Amino acid sequence: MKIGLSLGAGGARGWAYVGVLRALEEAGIKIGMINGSSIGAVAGGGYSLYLNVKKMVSIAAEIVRSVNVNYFNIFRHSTESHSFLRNWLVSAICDIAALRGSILSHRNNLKALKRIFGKYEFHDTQIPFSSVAVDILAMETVVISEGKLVDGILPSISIPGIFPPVEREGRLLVDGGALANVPVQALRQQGAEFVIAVKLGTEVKTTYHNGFDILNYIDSLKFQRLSQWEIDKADFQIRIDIPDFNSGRFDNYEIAIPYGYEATKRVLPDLERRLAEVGA
Amino acid sequence: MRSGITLVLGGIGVKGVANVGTLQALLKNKTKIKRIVAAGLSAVAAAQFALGRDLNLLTDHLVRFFTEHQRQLWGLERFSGITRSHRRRVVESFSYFLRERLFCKANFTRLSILSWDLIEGELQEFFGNATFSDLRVPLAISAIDLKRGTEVLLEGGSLVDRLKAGVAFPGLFPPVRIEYQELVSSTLYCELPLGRLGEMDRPIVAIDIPSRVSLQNPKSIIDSLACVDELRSLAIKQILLTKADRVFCLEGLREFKWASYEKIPQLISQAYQEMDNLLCSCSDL
Repeated sequence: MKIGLSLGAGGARGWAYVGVLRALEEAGIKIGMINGSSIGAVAGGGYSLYLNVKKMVSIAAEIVRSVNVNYFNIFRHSTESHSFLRNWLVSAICDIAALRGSILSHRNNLKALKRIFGKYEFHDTQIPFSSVAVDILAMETVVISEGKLVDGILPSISIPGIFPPVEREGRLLVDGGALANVPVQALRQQGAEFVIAVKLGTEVKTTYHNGFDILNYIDSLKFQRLSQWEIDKADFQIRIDIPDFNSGRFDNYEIAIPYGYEATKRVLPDLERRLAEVGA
Repeated sequence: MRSGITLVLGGIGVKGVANVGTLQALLKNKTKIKRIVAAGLSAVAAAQFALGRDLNLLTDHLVRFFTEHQRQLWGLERFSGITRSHRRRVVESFSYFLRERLFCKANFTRLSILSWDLIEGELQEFFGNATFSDLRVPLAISAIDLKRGTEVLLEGGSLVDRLKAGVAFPGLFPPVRIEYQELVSSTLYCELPLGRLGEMDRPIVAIDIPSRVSLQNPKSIIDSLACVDELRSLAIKQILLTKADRVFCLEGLREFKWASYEKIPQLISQAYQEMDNLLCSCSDL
């Protein structure tokens, strides 16, 4: 039986997937194929290429050392206690929001992806892997499983508004998390017979101070609803909650990994029972 | 469908008013309605219908309201072009930049662009102290409760307060507090309020007034975010539409903008004609 692993979006919290993969490896559960959206595509691509958790941890350490990962944390300057700075920042953000297509470029993304995947292509991976993005012109989910891994994963991490969309073959691609946070259906369509979905829990802010807080809140409700519909189609779900973890702090990988490991260990007896039931 | 249908009405912004035409066509067809579930401005049309009042009075009132308040609503019609940046000449680009910036700044510094002062009096004047118990056809108004993060159906109490919650489009109007709830319109979450309906509500007939779809490269961050927001709403609508036993899609209304208040009479007559044609080809309603 082909076991598929579907990994969702979630920024730096996605380092927890390394812990998930370690726990599954220790339990002897063989993953037959992987897909992922956003950080899930990065982690899934890395594992399917090297099939080695230790190698993934060393790559994480190397990226943190060599790439300015904190650059991804666009909200790193807290302004809560400085009203003048906050007002200035609001004006600046509004100017940028009305003039630019995105806050950041893909420069650091490409640098990090090249460190992980080099010139490897999808067909070089040791187990089938696909990256999931969303075409905002055709309004549909796109599964990428050919060509260079760097080129295939880049669209999947193009968070709308933060990074520019990626144009490819007449398509305009953004982060797969826009529609398919944990792309379970896509993996099943690719032939997975038993799908394990891994979701990074998100804390929804229920307080609001301005109109954007409300708009964001409604959008997060939509995101959660769509995610849940997708995850409900999986045969088994693993949910990882990392309290008080900033999704922009990619340098905190050592904090995130144990959470993924522990969350998987907790549900391992249930997973093994389910797999035994279906004869895997 | 002899026992009557559960009629589900939606439509983003002013497009919800088009349901005046839909309801007139259903009246002409003598379709039996056991309950109406509505969101946004379609709830205002549904309330007028459920009270057994003349729908043309509402149309006249809305046209007069928008004509009289054009100054206060300056730019609202043009705000609906916020995600449609295809006209990029110098003047248009500058005006587009200013509108986006204004929208952005207003929503960063306050709860909404508009306040309730603008429409509360109008609703009060039109519906007075009517309550849900005055309605001849049961009505449920859909809203999102920000406290609990769920869609709720408002089915009792003062009609005006619940209608305010129904039309409290996030970003345009502030949330409405009713008892322990903080409510905003559910149309941004999903155009059609099907989320809370179940087996008991069958047969469910949904009137889909589709939104304009922007198939173009986003020009700004607001464009990108609005595009994803729209994608998610459409995906949710597609999934929820499977709950309906029958969907009438009024395709001819797709190209109208959500704030085309100057075109209310056209919206209504177009909806009436389309719905009338659709009903002619369907014998069981």
